[in-house]
Amino acid sequence: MKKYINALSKIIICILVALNLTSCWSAHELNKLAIVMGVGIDKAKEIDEVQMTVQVAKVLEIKGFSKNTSASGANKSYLNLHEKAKSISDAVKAFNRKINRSLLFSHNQVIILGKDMAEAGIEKSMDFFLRYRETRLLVWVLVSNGTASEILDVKPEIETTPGRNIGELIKNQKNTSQIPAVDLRDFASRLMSKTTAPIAPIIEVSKEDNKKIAYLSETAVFKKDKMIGTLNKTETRGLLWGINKVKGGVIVVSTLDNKDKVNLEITSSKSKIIPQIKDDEIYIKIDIKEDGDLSEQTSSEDLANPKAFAILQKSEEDVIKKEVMAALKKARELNADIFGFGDAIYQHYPKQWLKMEKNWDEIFQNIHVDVSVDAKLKRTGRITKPIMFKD
Amino acid sequence: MKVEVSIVFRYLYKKLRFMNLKSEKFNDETVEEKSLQPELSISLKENFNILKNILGSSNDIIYREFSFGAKMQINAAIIFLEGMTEKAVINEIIIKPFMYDSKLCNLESELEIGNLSIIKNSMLSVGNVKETVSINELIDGCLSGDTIFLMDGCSEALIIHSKGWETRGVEEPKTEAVVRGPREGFCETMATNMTLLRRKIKNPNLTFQTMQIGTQTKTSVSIVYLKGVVNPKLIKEINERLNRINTDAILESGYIEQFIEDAPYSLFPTIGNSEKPDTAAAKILEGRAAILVDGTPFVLTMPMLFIEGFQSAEDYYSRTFFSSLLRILRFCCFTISVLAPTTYVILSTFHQELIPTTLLFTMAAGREGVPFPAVMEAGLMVITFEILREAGVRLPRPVGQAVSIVGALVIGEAAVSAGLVGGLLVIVVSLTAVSSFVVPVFTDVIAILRIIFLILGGSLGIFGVGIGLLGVLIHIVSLRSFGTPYLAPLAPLSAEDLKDTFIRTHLWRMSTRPRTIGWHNLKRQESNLKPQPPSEEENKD
Repeated sequence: MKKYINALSKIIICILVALNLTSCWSAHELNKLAIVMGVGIDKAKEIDEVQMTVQVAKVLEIKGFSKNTSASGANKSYLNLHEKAKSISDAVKAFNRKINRSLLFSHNQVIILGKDMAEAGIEKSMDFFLRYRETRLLVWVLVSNGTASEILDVKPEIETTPGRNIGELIKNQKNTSQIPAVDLRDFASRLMSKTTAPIAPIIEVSKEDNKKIAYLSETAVFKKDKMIGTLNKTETRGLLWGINKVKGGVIVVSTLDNKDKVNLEITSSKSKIIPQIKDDEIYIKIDIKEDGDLSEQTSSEDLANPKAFAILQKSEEDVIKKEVMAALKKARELNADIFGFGDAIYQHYPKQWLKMEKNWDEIFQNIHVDVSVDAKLKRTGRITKPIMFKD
Repeated sequence: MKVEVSIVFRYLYKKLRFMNLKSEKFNDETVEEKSLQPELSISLKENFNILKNILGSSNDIIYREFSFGAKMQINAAIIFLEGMTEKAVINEIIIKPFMYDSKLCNLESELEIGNLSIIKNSMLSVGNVKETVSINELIDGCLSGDTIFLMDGCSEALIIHSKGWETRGVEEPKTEAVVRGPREGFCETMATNMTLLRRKIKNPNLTFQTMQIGTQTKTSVSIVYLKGVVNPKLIKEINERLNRINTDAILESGYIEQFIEDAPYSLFPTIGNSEKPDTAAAKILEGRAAILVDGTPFVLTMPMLFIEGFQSAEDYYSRTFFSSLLRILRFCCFTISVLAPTTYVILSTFHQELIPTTLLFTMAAGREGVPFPAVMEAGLMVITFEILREAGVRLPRPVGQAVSIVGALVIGEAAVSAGLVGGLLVIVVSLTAVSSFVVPVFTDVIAILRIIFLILGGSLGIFGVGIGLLGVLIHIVSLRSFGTPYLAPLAPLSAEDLKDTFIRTHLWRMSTRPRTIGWHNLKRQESNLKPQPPSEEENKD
């Protein structure tokens, strides 16, 4: 009995003491939070200041929980707030004067950098997103052709908030492989690399039927932290072939008699960058393996035979090679190592790399790049022979 | 501070002890044990009065005096309890021979010297008749429904078996319903229950060892086991524990359970119970022992393992695939039932980043305008459900419908539109509630654990739930039930016994009894019993 009472008194003391320690410090009720769906960063007019836009989801409008449902259709389901401040975290705190809830960044879908900002240098504004615990490394990074706040205010027709719309839009690019999908992790690791040039998709606003629509147009190329140029669709795919990011898309080649077009769908692809140093010369081999299906033909020849397939495969390989070379040409023009050759050499030849590092920009122009493509055509789709088949 | 507290406790402790001492003294004064005369005397009058004194003038005790013999010269008396005896036995088999037949025969000379064995051997056509001189034995017999026969000039008496009273028949048990399997369940009468078990296991090794427990109630308690299969140490241990019980009343097997269980401070039961003879028989056949208690249909089985809570009789009657699916489902339901409300709370207050974005919108919209923090909201609903459950069990059947209607309002759309709780929580709580009934053995454990985890999750987030889970795991690993590790065969791992845990393998593959329970006699069947087409040689015939 005495033993129990002794133990009990100790337990009670422990609980009393522990009560001071608990206080649910990291607890946030859901209805005290503003869920951030998108972040835009623009250059402010004032020097040394940034203009930050955050997009907060209005959950009641989204789910139609509000009582007067007729109004909810007309209302925006998001709220954009703007704030000018010396730094990002300064701006984030400043939002608390405009919104009565604390911002929750863990569901942020996109970080959009304004073009002015991107051209002036983004180093200062990226630190916050990497350091802050709530932001995910999976958030998409984009560059807007105009200001970021303008992009975030394009009301999507299907999705609920612009932030989510843009996020889903980028995920969808795997079907064409003409725009890179760059998340914060990719972007930051390229930014941290000494030679590799960061890339990011460019988003623009276009008007269709008097409605604003945001669309992905090109790819922005950075040198260090400043945007220096763009890649068009073909060049972008050339780049994606090289960095093993092609997931799908269509390759258009000419038919055997060069009159009509044959479309070949990419089903899978793999690539490797293999550097080699021979007699102080650097050779880089880009090894691409591609599998594809016949997805459309405009001619009436029968292509479903090994002979035709071999020819198609050959021309497919040529197209891929051309795309990669176009990207390389552009990269040399911009003098930006978008393929990450520098990192590849560093990984294979760490000792030699130390000597090259300083004058990499010159070396980059003189690397021998050899692209070898192994394309395979596998299936013909549901039908084998074309509709208007002639012997 | 610590010193001060301990002083306060010491003071309280002294006070308590003093009160204890006082009540002990008080007990000594009030208890007046009726000093019983151990032996009968030779005179009927005297014996009759002694018994009448002890048994009292309660109206249900019938004292019947009569004379018999050719000249009605022998005085005798029978004493029995009305309602606990079978009228036909007393009227036709006990009284009738004395009234009619004794006149016809010529037994006088022998009867006069008081030879009861003649009566026992030639006049009473009852199977179970006992001679005794002990008054205590007579009284015990009378109170359990037997008839006492006293005769003048004789210092011995007969206890004639005449037990018979109104009982509930063998019905389908209310607790462990099955779709496939026997419908019969135990009832309140121990003799019937014994028969039910004996009918399942027709084996002379099936042993019933009966004793009486309870100084006032004298309840029959019977240990059942299969000799040669059960571990003799287990029976010894059960006997020791039962003998230690020194209480006034045993009204239900739960009394026994609470007096002999291994871990009285644990949430988890270490003794199983069943209302179905087939379940009890299966456990006995696995090498467990069972305890039957007179007056209750619930039979205790021991040792009990954690996985028994997830096994059902039907698992063995239906085919292996569906049984295995159900097993896994039950484990999932246990987890859901314990952790779902706290998961809702920790996700919505601590770890919003773990929720898919679209679901987050739904949850946030549901939470919009709810006045309470999520812990309170969830706690409210969980407790509301417990109230409804308890009300549903206790309410008289005709009112039952009212509860279900009101219940659907309280845990349902009405609660949401009243703005008390979020819509998602209603689904979480309902799922939790339904899941807890999938594991009937642990329903009460789950209800308590759920609240504990809710508090842990609500105050410390996923960290608190982690601590709680570790705590529960450490606790159940440390439990023992009659020497068997509670978590066996999972911990300690016994690979061969895994055949009957998450997956119930084919019956023909279960050739051994559970190692941890039936180590005494492991072999259950031959190991090559896989059903297969007859071999070709046989086919030729």
